[in-house]
Amino acid sequence: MKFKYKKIPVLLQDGSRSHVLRPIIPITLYWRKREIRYEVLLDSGADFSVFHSDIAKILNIDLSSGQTHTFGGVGSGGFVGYEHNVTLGIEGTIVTTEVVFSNDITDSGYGILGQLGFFEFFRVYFIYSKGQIDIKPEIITTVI
Amino acid sequence: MDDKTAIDFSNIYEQHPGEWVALADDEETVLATDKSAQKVIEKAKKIGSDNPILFKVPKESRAYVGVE
Repeated sequence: MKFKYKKIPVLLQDGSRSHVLRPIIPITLYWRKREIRYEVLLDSGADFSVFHSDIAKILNIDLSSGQTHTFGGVGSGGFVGYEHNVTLGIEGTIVTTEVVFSNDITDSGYGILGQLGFFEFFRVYFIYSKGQIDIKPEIITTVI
Repeated sequence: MDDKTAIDFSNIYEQHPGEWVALADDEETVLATDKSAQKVIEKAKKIGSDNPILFKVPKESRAYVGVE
């Protein structure tokens, strides 16, 4: 499965503007009979896959019924998320896995795919020089 | 880096900071925008897109390290 990096404008510390490439890809989340497509950042440094709580609401997931996790990051403080079992699809390949939904993703943050919930199932090749990401299933659970 | 192959989100970032956007399958065409994820889906459905791709546009775009 091949995906394209996204070209993102950024404001630099000196006030000038530039662009960066970020590995943001579309996924599909399934829960019961609902599904939603959602652009998320591949973040191999993250332990968990963490998505906006808005997505859980659309899927009709009772957010606070999940196991609570408190996370720390590279920023100033931790945040709270709730773990839920969902089915995650990358193009035609789907896996059922635990992910976390949180109200605490900042206004400048992304939903992220981390080690648990994503990288444990997929091999990811970041080909930055070509602006391309190749993803291969580690374990194919289902192909639709 | 070869940014010619990348999908350019510049316009989306500049025009819709802090909003949810509903994208078409090409990941570039903006179908609808709103501050609410639920409403942006409803708006997209009204114009015939039953399953758009949602993206939350960051309010500020700076160099990024982690979720915070």
